[in-house]
Amino acid sequence: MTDSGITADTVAADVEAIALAVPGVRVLYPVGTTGHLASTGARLLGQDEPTRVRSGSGGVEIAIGVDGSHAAPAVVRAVGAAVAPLLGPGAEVRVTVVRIER
Amino acid sequence: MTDERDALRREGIGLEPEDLDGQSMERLSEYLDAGRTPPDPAIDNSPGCQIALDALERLRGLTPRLFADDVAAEPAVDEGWMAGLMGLIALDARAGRRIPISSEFGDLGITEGAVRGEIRAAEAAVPGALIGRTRLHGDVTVPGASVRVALDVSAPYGVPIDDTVGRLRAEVWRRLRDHTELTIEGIDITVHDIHLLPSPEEER
Amino acid sequence: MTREHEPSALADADDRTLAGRAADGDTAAFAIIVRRYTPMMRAYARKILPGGADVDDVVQEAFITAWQKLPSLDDPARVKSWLMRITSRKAVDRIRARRESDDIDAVDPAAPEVATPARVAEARSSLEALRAALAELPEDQRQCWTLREIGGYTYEEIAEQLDLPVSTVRGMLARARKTLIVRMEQWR
Repeated sequence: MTDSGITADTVAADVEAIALAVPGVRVLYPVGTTGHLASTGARLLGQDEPTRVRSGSGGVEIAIGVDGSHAAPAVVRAVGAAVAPLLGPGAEVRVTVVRIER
Repeated sequence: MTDERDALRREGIGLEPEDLDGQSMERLSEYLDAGRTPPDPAIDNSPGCQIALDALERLRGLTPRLFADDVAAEPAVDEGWMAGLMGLIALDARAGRRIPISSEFGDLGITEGAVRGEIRAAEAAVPGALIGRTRLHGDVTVPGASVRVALDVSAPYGVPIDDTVGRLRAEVWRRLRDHTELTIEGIDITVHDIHLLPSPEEER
Repeated sequence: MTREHEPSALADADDRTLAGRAADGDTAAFAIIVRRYTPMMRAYARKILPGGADVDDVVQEAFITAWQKLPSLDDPARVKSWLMRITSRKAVDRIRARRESDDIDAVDPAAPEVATPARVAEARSSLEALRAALAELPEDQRQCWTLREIGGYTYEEIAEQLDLPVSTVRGMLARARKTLIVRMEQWR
């Protein structure tokens, strides 16, 4: 799905939408500055719009809040499975649950 | 200052070396701060010194009240100032270590911070209980590693403590089982405090 | 991480519970600590800072540092005295920074802002006489006195904080106490 005609922003928007559509995902949080994927230069602090989908080297990283009534491991696996097809082969999706919402 | 010194002398209080059998106020002041140890007979046997030390003790005795009055005179927290402060700290997630979750697709995990929040939420199992600090002991970043959980509790007065601890332990275990793949070796609960619940009138 | 549900019981929780939760990231618990101890830290900072200026900033800086360092506080029950230590450090840092930028020797015996001003003649008690006398002490003597009597610092700690020899600290404390005794006993 990713080719030269589709920008990183488009992929990011798709990833965000797909992730939010997974049952049990309540919200996407800003991605922290520590992460092993290379940042595209965005920094969390000092930015007006915090990064919710960080992308670089063909992979993406997101941080999610999961509804407490859903088991977090199942939800985060579902997110991984939903997002992976959007990316090229060999690209990595990194999803971290940062909060269990009540 | 000399008039005041004379006035003091008329009260029987002298703070100069000639009143203190050769000791200085510096020496007495330090002696007071050291709790009068090690004992110094030259000071302890001098009436002039004892009078001066009494005055120093009176001064010291007023300080807590003075400070308490000052604290009471300060206004309550300014909401604008508060919002500024809370905004500055809100960026710090205190995520802690990343706890892996097994998967075929990608690199998945849950933060220690999320797990701690979930452990705290277990206090709902015992109305009135408050969970304080929580700790995960063990290398949580290694899949399948075994972990000991420790938490502080302030228990509600009126509920048998064993009851409180048992229910909390079961609830914490259930939540960790639901939201993580950690192998829990044990859950250590420390009840460090017991508190009264507010009465229904106070709740309003 | 973000604000959590605030049970009403939390507002009256003990220090160890609140500091433990705040160290773990509970901002609601931290907010309660802020409300609980701000007046105390302001009153303390006000006695250290000349003229009482910058009290708001100093206390805010103290809480930001407290938030950052809370996870390293071994005994959360001691959060109150720990906050006092941070406050005096920040107040002294502020004085040093101001002195360096102003480039003038701050030999300032002027009276700072006092919460309830009272002249000795009008003092209704030895407490008021003491408060007035304290306000009129030379700034450096008042700082030594405050760090010792309210902060509980040792002479060595005061010397290190204010960048003075211990002998100077000893001398300032004695001079301050002499002045205060004279004013206080006068009232009796």
